[in-house]
Parts: sequence; structure tokens; C-alpha cells
Amino acid sequence: MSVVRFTDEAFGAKLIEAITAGLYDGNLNCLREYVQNSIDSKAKRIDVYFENKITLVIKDNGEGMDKEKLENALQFGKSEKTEKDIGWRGIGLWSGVPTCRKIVIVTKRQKNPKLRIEINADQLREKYNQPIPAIKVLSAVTGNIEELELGADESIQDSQYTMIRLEGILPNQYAIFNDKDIKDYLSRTIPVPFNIREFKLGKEISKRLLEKGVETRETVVFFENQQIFRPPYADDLFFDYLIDKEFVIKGQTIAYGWFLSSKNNRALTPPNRGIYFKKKGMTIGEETLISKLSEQTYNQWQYGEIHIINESLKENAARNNFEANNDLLDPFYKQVGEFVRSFQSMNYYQSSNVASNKIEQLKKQADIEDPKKMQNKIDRLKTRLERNRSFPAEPALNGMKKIIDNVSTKDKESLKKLEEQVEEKRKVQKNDPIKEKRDQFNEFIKTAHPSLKKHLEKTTQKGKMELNIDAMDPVKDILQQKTGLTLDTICKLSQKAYDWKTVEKGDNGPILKLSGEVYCDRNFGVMIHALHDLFVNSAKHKKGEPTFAFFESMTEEERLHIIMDFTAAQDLVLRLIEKSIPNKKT
Amino acid sequence: MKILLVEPSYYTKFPPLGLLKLASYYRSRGNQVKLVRGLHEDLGFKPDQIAITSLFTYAWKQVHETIDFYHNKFSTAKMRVGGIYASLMPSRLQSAFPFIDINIGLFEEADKYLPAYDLLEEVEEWKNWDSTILFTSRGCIRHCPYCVVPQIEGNVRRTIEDLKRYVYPGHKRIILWDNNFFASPNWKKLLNELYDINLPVDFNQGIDCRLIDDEKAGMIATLRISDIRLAFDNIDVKKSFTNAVTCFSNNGINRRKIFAYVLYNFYAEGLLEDTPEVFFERVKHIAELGCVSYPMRYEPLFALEKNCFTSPLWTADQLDMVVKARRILGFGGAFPPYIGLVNKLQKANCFEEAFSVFPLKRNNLSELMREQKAEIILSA
Repeated sequence: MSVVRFTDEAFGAKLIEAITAGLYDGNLNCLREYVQNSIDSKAKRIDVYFENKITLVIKDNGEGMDKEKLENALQFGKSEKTEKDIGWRGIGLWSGVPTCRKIVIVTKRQKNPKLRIEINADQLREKYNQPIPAIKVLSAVTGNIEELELGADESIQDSQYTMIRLEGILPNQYAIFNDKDIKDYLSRTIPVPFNIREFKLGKEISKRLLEKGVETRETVVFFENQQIFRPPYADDLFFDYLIDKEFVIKGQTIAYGWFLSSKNNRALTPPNRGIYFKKKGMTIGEETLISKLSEQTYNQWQYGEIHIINESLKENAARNNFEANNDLLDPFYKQVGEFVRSFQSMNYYQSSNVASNKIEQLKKQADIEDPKKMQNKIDRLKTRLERNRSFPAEPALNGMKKIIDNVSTKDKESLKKLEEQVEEKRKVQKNDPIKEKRDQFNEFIKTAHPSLKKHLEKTTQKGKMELNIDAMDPVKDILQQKTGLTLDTICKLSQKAYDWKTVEKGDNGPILKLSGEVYCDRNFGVMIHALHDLFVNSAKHKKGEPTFAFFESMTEEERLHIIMDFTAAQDLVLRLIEKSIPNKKT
Repeated sequence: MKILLVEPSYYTKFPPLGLLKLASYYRSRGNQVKLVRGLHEDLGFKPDQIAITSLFTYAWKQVHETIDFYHNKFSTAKMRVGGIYASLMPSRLQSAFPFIDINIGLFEEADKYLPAYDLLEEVEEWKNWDSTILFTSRGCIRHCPYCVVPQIEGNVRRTIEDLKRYVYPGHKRIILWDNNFFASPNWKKLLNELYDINLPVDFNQGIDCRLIDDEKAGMIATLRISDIRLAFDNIDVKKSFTNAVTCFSNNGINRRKIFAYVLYNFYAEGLLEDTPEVFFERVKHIAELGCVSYPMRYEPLFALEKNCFTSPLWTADQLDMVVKARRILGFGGAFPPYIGLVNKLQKANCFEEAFSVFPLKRNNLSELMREQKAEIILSA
């Protein structure tokens, strides 16, 4: 029997790929690793920014590193950090390898020189697939630690900082490393404060987290000179009630969660959506982790954070879940799952009791919409609000029941008011002269000349209130067909025959001016002129054009009157032409 | 550390690429940098170090002024000067300014960095710059006696691969500054990369006609390229030049879009015969081929003033004739193959006849101009 001995050769370069590229599932995750290192180094402020468009810099004013610490930081899986720190596995510095050409670390610790080292990520990636021992590769791609000169505004005694530079982001990463995604990623992943100017409830939440002994490690982080805040970013999306819940297993508090529920009956939208697990302020897993636990449909009407307090519940290296080898995890996940299901029951309850948005929407429609249709809509909503749903038994949600019930009472009252309003409108409408006329007009259309009817029926109810230009097309066509004359000639002949000139603004609306000082009755005159002009240039007669101003300035009733006359005349002309002249063969 | 980078305000069409790379090099060491052009009283920046670049030797005055100015302003800052003038005449510079450090030749360590184009946004003269300048190689396989490249850059060698990584996001054009692009054994891979990048390409330093064959011309023709620049500096390359033009033309490149640099006024004992007659022969040949010639007056490597050197094989009057002819017969300093101009060159028996402007009668001249105009209209 012999003992298998391991040498340096046992760890091939492929291992480095598994750790750098394989571990951090999305490439922006390297940002989290670097920011986390900065927070662990007690940085008061962290700046993330692009330099020369494709170098990403993460700069902090933390303790910095001396030579020994820098050497240690580059070792794989051999961190000086303890579990009090956020990062504790000692891999973080290498996490940028898949994204850029070179990782440069510039660091300065108090009473120590300014140091620099670079990792040639290009070379490292090239060597992944070569059968070379990992140790050889690491030494080959890592430069020497250089000491750098200090400037006049730095002092060997006091200056401290660390700057990580991901130089030359690779072209295939440009799409991932865009400003918006980086900002979103940072805001939902790293421990940053709320923006209490936009989200006033944030103040109360921070207070409660402090009371419950939650470490949030909130740090000032800037991206491109803009401070990063964690969501949510608005108060008015939510009911003004903070739900809080302690997750306790065998008398031990595992986690503390706070939640807000949407007052609109629909799923929230990012970035104000999601329930996130946090440990020491850092997000564990993505937004989707919580949905997996509920085991049934969960509509995301809540925003919240579940902060892990218990030390033994550890995140895995990729930070996309917790380490499974823990007796607490299953019961904890079970509790969270049940809690999320209570949320879903509460959502159902809310949708059967609250309809504030829908009512607001209906109120806006009430002025323009047909009262009969309005009544239908109100009836449908009433049916919805009469559904009976039970409120979940979860004690943490008791406070929400009162809130929802209050809103529900108010909603039902305003719906009743709206209904009365609509009923009133229906009564008035029955004595409406315009409606009467319109009904007459609709009757007329049914009996109109077939080609005119075809045109008019194509237009909507609303369209019938306009002079319809296309409607003259059948007249034009039939005239040309019957006479064999060009449109131009027809125009000239008709102008000569009727001797008309222009339409002028009269005291009681537009009038037609004939040659000499002869004025004509406005309705008939305008109609004839419009007919004539439509022959000459129908394209001019569009809504909003000056030639139609006279028409648009009239009251609805006047307009309807003219349209009816006009349509009748069109109909007459069509029938006369059709009957009077035999078809000319062309 | 704070480092000020200064481009003296001499005339140039291109931003200071060396300084931009140096900026990236300094930034990579955690330093703060600022770029300026010319002399600025109010910088709002107190540098620990100052780096100044230089260009052609005849533009030395602005360099000296710049050193003086910034040394007086920041007397404690360490100052280093680099660039062409500093590399060619270091002792002249050093004796004028004993306090400066001089960088001779290429600073290889900084050469690999992506130029800090973002700094140009702060410089009035360069804020709209939108082209990526690339050296895919340094040095040259040739040792032309009139060229400074072997002296500063040495033999040819590859510098960068995977061009895509060096194209600055948002730039609209690629300018290649290779001294001799096709001398690189890598040319085929590079052309394919340029094709994939799909931006307009400018082979700015001219293409060596001796290296052109049908395959290369064909590949160049697939690029987004507005004109081809060749050099016809020496009558010995007449055959290669003609062949290159034919190759480009066969691959669909309009001959009028082929520009040929024509060196004149060069003199080196026994090395290359550059007389007015040889100049005339080259310009005529280019015109007959239907291409454009662009005369380039030779400046000695160490010239401290421009246009002062006269080769023993040329007279001042003859040099003057070229200047005038370029202005009056030419267009934008070049001689395009206008029918009138081609005829004039073909009829001429010697340099003087070809490039004379005054002996022509007024009528003839205006006739010539009319022809030119017609030509321009026809070619438009």
C-alpha cells in the first residue's frame, strides 16, 4: 500500500479558471468583491468610476496594505480576514480576471510606502487551458511589487488608500459594464444607505435595524460621482405601514426582516421590487431566490430585506445562496416560504377589497365615456369587490388588515359616488339635441348611395363629425367616368356655371361670396364651396389647416348640421350624375 | 502624485499620442494627470512632475518657450522632455535647460497603454477628436537616408495584436501610424481585423509600393478607405509604383484616389539622385497614371528652421517654382491629373517648362483654369 503524495503539479491552471470565472457567475460580481474588500478595510468612502472609458477603478480611503498584507491578499483561499469581515475566503482580488486585460493594485498603508502590483489577466486567461501547474502560472502573470513615489499632497505617515484598476475592459464585456447596469447592480448588492430624501420611511427602517442588532455596514459609495443608495426610491408606491418579522428557530433569532406592501394592485417594478436576503449589509442571491422558496405563485407586491443575524448561517462563495451544510437553513427557508405565501394571500385579499387606482381611472373616463359603457365598467368592478377572501393568519401582517380595510371602505364610498354621477349624466343625455341629430344622421347613412355609404361606414362614430374628404372620391370618379373630362376641366366648368369666389367670415358664421356683391346663405354656400374646393385640391382639407378653420371654429351642433347637409348634397350629386349622363367609353 | 502633461502649441494635425499614452502609464500608477496645450496661467493644478513633448526640430522654439514658462511657474516640479526634437537633439536641449530630464526615443513601457483620449475633451484644440491612432508596428525594414524612423524607432517589430481592444469606444475612424504597415508579417491578420472592426481606415504614413501585390490591394479595397497614399520618393521604385497603381486600379480603386508623396530637395552624397529633372519625371509619371502627386520638400533631420535647406542639386528659384506651381496649377498643394495639367507636363521638355507659371499668357492660364473646373465638375 502506498500513500498518494500531492505536489505543486497537482493543481493545474484550469483550477484558476474554475475559481475566477466559474465562481462569480455574472461578471459584474467582481465589483462586489472589490467593494467588499474596501468595506472590510474600514473605508469611509468608496469611489467607483471609469477612466478613459474602458478602465474601471475602485478606490477607497480604507487602511490600505503594506507589503506583507498585499502578498497575503494575492494568495488563493488564504485570507487574513476573520468571519467578522464580509469577505473571508481570500479569492476576491482575482475576481476581475475574466473581465479585463490587467488588474492593477495601488495601495498605501499609514507609515508604509505606496505599493503597486499588476496581474496580467490576458496572460492568465491564455494559460487556463495549458497543462501548467497553477503555481507557475500565478507567478508568471503577477508582476513584482513596486514602490512608488509620493506626491506633495501625500504623506508617508498618514496617507492610506487602495485603488483597484481593471484596465482595458474587454470588448466582449462592454455591454455588461455599462453605467446603468453597474449602478443598478451596486445599489441592490452592496451595503449602502437609503436615500431618505426620496424614501422617508428609510429613516424608520434604519432605526429598527439598529434596534434589532442588525449590522448593515452602510458605506458611502459613489459611482461616477453620484452617490449610490439602496432601493426603494419612493414612498408613495407603498402603504404607509412597516411590516416587520423576526424569523426564530428553537428560540434563536436567525434573521430580521422588514417589508412594505404596494398600494397599487399590481406587481412592483424594478428597482423598487424584490425581497432580498442580506448579511452584513451584502445581498445574498438575486431577487429570484425568494420566489423559489414560496413554492407557488407569488406576485411581487412587496419590497423587503431579510437580514441574517445568526453567524452560523453562511453565504456560499459565489454569494448566490447559503451554504447548505447547516441545520438551520431548511427550517429557516421553510419559515420564509410560509411568510411569502402569507404575502400572496394578503395580495388576494387586497385585490378583492381595494380598487383605488381603478376608481381614479374610471373617474377620469367619466367625462368622455358613454354613460352606458361606464355603468358596465362600474358593475364589473363591483362584482370584483364583492368577492370574499380571507386575510392570512400570520400575526406580523395583522396591522396591514386594518390598513387595507380602511382603504376598502373609502374606495367603496367613492365608487358609489361615481355611480351616482354616471346615473345623473345618463338622465341628462336623454334630452340631448345633438344626440337626436346624430341618430337621424345614422339613419340617413343606412339609406345613402352605396358608394357613399361604404365610405361613411368605414369612419368611426367620432369621424362622422368631420367633413370626410375621401367621401368626395366617388363623386370625382363617377364624374370623370361619365363625362370623359379631366378633373381640371370639370372644376373650371363648375366655377363658371356657379360663379363663386371665396368663403368669408360673416357675422353669424362663414358665408360664400359670389361675384359682384352677392352673398349666399351660409349653410348651402359653404357646402357648395367645399364641394368645389374638394375637386380642386382635396389634400388641403386636413384638420388644423387654415382652409378648414371656419369649420373647426363652429359649435358641435352647427358642425353636425353642415356635415349632414354636405353629405346629403354628396348623395344627391352622386345620384343625379349617375342617372343623367350615359357612360362615356374611354 | 500630480503630473502635468504639456503639448507645446506648435502647428500639428494630430493630438500628442505619446503624451496620451504616458498619461495612461502614469494613471496606472495611481497618479492624477492633466493635459494642456501651450501656456496656461491658471491651471488649478499643482504638479509634482511635468512632462513635455516635442515634434519636428524646426518647431523647437515653442518647446523652449514651454519649458521656460512651466519651469518658472512650478520651479520645484521635476520636468522631463521627450518626443522627436528631444530625441534628435538632446544635447542642444540639455545645455539650454540643465534642470530637465530628457527621454530619448520610444518609452516602450508606456507604448503598450491605450492612449488617454478622454483627456482631449479638456483641451480646446482637440475636444472634437474622434479617431483612434494605432501603431501595429514600430520601426521600418527600410533605411531610407532621408527618414528619421530608423534612428528613433529602429528595426521593424510588432507592437499590438487584437486591434479591437485598442479602438477607443465611440471613435469613428482608425488612423494607422505604422511606418511601413506591410513590412509586418502579421499584415493579413491585421487587415482582417480592420475589416471586422468596420470603421473607416486611414493608412496615414503611406503604403510602401514595393510591397503591394494583387492580394494586398484586393484586401485594402474591401476596407472603408477614402484614399490610398503611396510614396514615390525615388525614381528607382518607378516599376513597383506603377505596378502598385495597377493593382489598386484592378481592384476597383479609383486612380484619382491614389496619392503619391514625391520627395524633393533631398541631398546625400552618392546615395540618391534627386534633381529637378527627376522630380519632373516622377510627377509626370504619376499624372500619366491618373494619380495625384503630393510634393514633399525635404527637411534635414536637424533643421532648426523650415524651408531653409537647399540641396546642391536644386536652386532656390527651382524650389520656388514648385511652391508656386503647387499653388497655381495644383489643388490643395497637390497636382491632380487634370487634363490641362497632364497635357502641360507631357508637352514640357524640362523641369522649367513643366512648372513655369508666368510665361503662360493670361488667356492660356484662364483656359487652363476652365479646363480644371470642368474636370472637377466631371469628376464630382
